[in-house]
Amino acid sequence: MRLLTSAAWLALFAGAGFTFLVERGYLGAAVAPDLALLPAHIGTLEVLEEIPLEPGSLGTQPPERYAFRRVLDARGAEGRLFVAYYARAQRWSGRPHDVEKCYAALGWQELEARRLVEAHRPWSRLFEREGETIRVVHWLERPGPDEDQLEWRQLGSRLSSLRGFRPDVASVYLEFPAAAAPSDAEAEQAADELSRALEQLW
Amino acid sequence: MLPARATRGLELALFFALVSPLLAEWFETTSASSRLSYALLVPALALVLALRERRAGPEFAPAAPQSLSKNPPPAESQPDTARLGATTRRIGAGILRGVATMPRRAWLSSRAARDSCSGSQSRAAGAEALAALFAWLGAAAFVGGTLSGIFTLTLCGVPLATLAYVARLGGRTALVRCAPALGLLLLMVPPPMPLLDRVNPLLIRASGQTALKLLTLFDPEVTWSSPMLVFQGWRLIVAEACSGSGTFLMLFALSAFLAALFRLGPWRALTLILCSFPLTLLVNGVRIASSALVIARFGAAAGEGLAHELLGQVVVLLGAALLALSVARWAPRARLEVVA
Repeated sequence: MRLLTSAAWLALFAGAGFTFLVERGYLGAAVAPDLALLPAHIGTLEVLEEIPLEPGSLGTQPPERYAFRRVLDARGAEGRLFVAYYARAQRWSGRPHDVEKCYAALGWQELEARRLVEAHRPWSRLFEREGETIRVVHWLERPGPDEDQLEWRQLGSRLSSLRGFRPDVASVYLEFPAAAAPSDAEAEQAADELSRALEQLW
Repeated sequence: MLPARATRGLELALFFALVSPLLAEWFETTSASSRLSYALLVPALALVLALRERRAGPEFAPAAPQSLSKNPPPAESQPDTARLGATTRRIGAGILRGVATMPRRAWLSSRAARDSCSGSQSRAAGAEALAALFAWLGAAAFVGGTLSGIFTLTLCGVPLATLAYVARLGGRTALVRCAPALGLLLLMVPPPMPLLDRVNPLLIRASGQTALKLLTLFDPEVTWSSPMLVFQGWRLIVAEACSGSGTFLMLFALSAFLAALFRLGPWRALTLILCSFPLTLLVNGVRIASSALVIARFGAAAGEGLAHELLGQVVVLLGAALLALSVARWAPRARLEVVA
């Protein structure tokens, strides 16, 4: 009994110590990527110039860094790529915001939502507003494992890779008019290549 | 060697140093978010309850365990075996009685000592086991939450560790006495975002329906199609930030505090806590309806920015005050006197 009690207190302090190391970034500190170095091509998409953005439109808790770029797909359809970097992911408080909430707040009605099969399992959503329909593919990019779910595999991979303990996160989305949106396979390829590019930048 | 008290103090200081980054993030984020800022008050309210219990003294402690009441019956209750008139005879009888009852008293005394000793030992072991259980749970929350990156789960480690310390320092009695305060302390952990994501659309729909009913008094043509309210030509979108989830969390915590403060019974307390949901719908409905009325009267600018925020806060504070006054008015008198 004595041993069990002592072990419990030891575990409590060890757990708190582990949390301390991760929270203070001693196991993996945030590294801000230089988003100007994003590649010119991600999959079949061509990444073009920056779109001017009013900083005030990014809300009360804006990202530390962001890139808002014009993109063209192989058929010449024009879309937009947004990458927002947050040094500290605070999903519990809504930072970064869920992309679908931003669209809903702007009056877009969600018509369809499904997940693609790429490793990051991006969401593909269809929105409609006043007759206009758009397709948005979005996901959260982390230096470590992709899913923020309580899974044994994820816990294992976080333990085995110190990068998994980094606190930073990037919220990424691609937006195209629904009629000219890239196919699921093209979107998955773009997500995969952008993910690898970001991995090099942070 | 340090005295036990100093060791305990050092241990607590070390623990707080280890969880300080967690508490710092909790403080920064909750103070920056109007939806979560209620959580800042929760530890203070829990402390109020704990101090009140401490000041109230042991009369509120639970009844002593049965083993404690098994004291040996007083010697006076033993049957008087000899009835003698003279003093000498009385003394002699006393000696005789003492000798005669000696084996029985010795047996009763030893049994009482054994009961008392084993009782206190088992109570101490029980408290130790409880403390160990909460310490294990706290450790699991810290490790599981950190590994999975779920901050709210990690934060659960703090109130669980507090439970463990209270069990270790004050035993089961302290746990029972401080149960309302410790229960309230758990509310310092905001609900996880995925849960709120599910609740918010329901709250928006229900609050919009309430606003619709209120605004029908001013304009029978008013319509509501979630999340849009159309009132006197204005189209108002009820944003996710105005879903009322912050109001609900604040009223929920306030109801739990009031139930503990006024020592409501379990059913009354549960009813009061459940009432926080319809009250939220009413408050948020009034908030949306008043925003619509202000916009219709003074224009779109009056429904944005600081003016919108202030109007919302005033309505929510009025709702909280209404709740507190209602509980103070209808709480059972006897219990109020005890509190006083």
